[in-house]
Amino acid sequence: MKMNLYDQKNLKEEVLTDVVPVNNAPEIDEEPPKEIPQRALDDARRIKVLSPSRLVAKRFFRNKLAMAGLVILIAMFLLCFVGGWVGRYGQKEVFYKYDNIMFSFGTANERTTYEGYYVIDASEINNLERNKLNSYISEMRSKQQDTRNYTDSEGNAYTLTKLDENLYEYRFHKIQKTATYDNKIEIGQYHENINGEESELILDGPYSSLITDNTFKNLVKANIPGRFVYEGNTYIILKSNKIPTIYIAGDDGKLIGEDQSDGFKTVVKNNLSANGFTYEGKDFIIEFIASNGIYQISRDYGNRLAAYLSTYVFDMQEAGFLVDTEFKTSAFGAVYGSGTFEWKGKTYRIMKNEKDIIVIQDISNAEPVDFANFSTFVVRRYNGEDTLSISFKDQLQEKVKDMIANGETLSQFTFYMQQIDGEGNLIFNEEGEPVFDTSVFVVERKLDNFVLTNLQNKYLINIFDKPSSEHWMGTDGSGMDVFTRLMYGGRISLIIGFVVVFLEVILGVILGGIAGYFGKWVDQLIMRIVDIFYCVPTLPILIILGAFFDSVRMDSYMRIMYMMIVLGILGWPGVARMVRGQILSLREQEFMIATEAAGLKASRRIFKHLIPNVMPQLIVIATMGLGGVILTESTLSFLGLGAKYPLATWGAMINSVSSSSAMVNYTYIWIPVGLMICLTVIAFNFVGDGLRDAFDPKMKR
Amino acid sequence: MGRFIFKRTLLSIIILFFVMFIVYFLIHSLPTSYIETVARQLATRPGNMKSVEQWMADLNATYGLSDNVFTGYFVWLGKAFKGDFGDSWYYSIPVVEEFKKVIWNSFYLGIAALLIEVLVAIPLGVISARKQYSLTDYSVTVTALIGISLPTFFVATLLKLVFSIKLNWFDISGMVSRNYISMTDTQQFFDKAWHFVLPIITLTVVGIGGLMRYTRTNMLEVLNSDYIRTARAKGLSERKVINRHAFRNTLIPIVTILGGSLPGLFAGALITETLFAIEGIGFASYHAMVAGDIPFTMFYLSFMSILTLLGNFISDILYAVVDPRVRIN
Repeated sequence: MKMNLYDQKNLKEEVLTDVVPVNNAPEIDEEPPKEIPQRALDDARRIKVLSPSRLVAKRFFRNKLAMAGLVILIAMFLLCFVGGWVGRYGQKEVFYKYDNIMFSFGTANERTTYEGYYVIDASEINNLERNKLNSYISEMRSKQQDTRNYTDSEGNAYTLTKLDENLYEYRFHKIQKTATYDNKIEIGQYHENINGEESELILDGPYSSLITDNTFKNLVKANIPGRFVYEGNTYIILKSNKIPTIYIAGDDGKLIGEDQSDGFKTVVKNNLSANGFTYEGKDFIIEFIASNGIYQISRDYGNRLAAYLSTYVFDMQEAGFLVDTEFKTSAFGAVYGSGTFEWKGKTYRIMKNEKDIIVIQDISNAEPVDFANFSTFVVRRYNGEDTLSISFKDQLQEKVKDMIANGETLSQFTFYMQQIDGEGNLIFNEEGEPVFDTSVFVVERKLDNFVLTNLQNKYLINIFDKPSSEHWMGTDGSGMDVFTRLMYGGRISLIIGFVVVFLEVILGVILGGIAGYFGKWVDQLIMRIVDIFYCVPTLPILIILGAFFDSVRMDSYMRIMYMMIVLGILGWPGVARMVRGQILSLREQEFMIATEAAGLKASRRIFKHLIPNVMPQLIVIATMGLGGVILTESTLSFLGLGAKYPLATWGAMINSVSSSSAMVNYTYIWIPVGLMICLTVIAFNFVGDGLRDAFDPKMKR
Repeated sequence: MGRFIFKRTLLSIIILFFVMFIVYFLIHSLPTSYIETVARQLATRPGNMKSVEQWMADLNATYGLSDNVFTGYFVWLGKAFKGDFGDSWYYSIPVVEEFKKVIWNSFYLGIAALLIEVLVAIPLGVISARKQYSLTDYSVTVTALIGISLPTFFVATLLKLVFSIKLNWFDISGMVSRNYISMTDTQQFFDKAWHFVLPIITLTVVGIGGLMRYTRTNMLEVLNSDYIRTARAKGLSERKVINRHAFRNTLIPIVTILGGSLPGLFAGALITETLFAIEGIGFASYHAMVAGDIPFTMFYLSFMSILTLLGNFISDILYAVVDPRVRIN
């Protein structure tokens, strides 16, 4: 090597190696006083003693890479520990925003099913019958019938009458069984010969005269079962078993049913041969049932209007105005009736307007006011409410007609309407006047339904927001601030790193120290344990544990604890090996012989004399190890097996956007986070490398 | 030398015994309820022919999980020694068969990455050491440190973003193209090789730093040694000094290290394979482990331990071969 003795730099370095022994020796100051440029090497004025640690620090600070690493690390620490604390937002804080999105506004369809508007209490008609109404109407339409009469199993009669295509009248004739009347007394039997040759009557004493009466016998024969009047008496024949039994109608019978008063019974008795009677203003039907010989008394409610069935809906002129069923049934009644009706003290008139639409007008005042329209086109808000104006409905209906005519499935129209805010309330300006604006509505056909969407201002979770002044790195898929999570994530990553390295160093120093100091079989044993732990694969074990923790749904913090313990337990062999090696060589040095000669205790010799001399290497290995642990932790979290959402760690944050679409679109989330990991690890490695060089200048040469 | 190898082998076997015990102990410590849950989940996978009860019975027979840890260990060791690791729950075929299916992919990946690493890292390390403190040296050192510091998943994701998504040169993951079956043999080979490019780059980027630093350090050590000074002193050309004397001597520790890393070629790259869906041992075992496939996990853990041990063993032997002083101790 060429050497110029007068070159200050080379001079200094040469002096260093020649004069300074490796341990605890004084160092010559780098800068000689300026006024004495040339001096002999042994000039006492040139020599300034530096402590070993200051020497190391000086060498370290001169290393640019190490300094860069240190600066990065300090910045990182400030960012993670102070930043998270100073930062505006919390780690798990979710952000919301108002934004315009295409949102479902309402639906529209042409009503084709008939809805029942009941005049009477709808529960009087049983459910089964009510549910069949639409199918009856479609049957009538296909057979082109205008009326349909039918009865149900209980004898109730119904009539469906078509008023027009969209309006049917539904009448109900209700017959309700209320009582039975039994007045028969057994008087004998009629024995019929099987061959039909001889038949005979067997009658009780008072009626024995009738046995030979052929007229009576023939009447009996003709009325099995049945009822006949003979000589003023009513006889009843029942065919129970095989032998018909003959009864006579008694004066008094047994009445079973709702009303068992004598008055009712008398009326019943008097009307046994009639079809019906009226009692206390109610109509009753009386019917003789031949099969069991008793009288069935049924209440006849008469033929009443039950309901109107219609596909019409009422489009109110005043949007959102609600009317009750009474209004609707009265209106339907008026269409083919008087044409006017009253509701809540006001009079309304039904008429057809110029567009041939049935209109209800309020004629309480001098000037008729349009009140509602009949329509079969139903337009509702997305929540089912009918709050839209007629003009809107009309415009939509026209649009839909066009769409059907043109066979379109997607179209749009504009409408000038009052604006609605995120919560669905109408917007008013400062003066309290409604704010109107033009809205664009997109109409999409979905089978028979037309779905309306428009741009609405909604209160949304602010996901995947682009970086802005509010969110410096945007927000993630859950609406949390990425920058804040980056800081908190770094905190966890760094803490994990420190704890794990601390564990490793403690275990490694103790076991390595013992092995190196005592040697012999202790050394052999511990080093074999080191070999064993060295072979246990760390990452697979952490993955299995992660999968297991997933399965038992372990708490996020507990997972981290276990992860740190496992990493520490599996990571110490490297430290132990290094410590042992160092101690083995240190043990042979003179200063250790001196401690032995001085009679120091073993523990003191280890901890006061050996360990401090291992410290430099320990610091280096710990610094480099920190980077390694952070790498392992982020890898695990990236695989989803480390810290879990919503706890932030760097790896987990990248994992949340690792699908290929997220990878392209949300680079502003994962690239900074990934760079943070790289930078931290690189910085630790730079600093570790720099420290190594500073501690051991021999290596550098 | 023979004695040394014999001693080392014996020691390795003892270590292996205990390592396997730790692995077994870990799996044995998993709660039975967890194993049953997993068995139930995996029993519903298509292609599975056995019931949960059968699986659990098989597991107990092969792994002695119902016995206590020590007797169970010997039951398992006995079976494992004969190569019987049971049926994989996740893949529904014997573990060893699945292993045979995937291991070569891992090997190809590993050997390609290792070759590139060696071809790039050693020359760079040598150059860097020769021109110590030069710009080249600094850039090599810094690059090496950065390479060591990069998380595999970040490199892989970045490569995917640039080459798969932006440039569209490679598939984002997977080992073969969609029309692989309809290709000729040569095309199939190149198709597969093409899909291996990104994983190989990832592995190289992440792994190259270590070798580079190692080469540089050793080269520096050699360059500072007395015989190099002597060689220079006797007037040999710098080329001869470097190529004949320095480089050859540097090769000794490097070869030792490389020899030790040979078994690692079969270990697969868990993260890289998983991220690029290369069906190697890492990929297969990652999915098996996450799903809780106990038989496969046991196998993989043992396999990894054996590979590490084998690597150390080879390293030691090679070291002893090149440096006779080691043999004495």
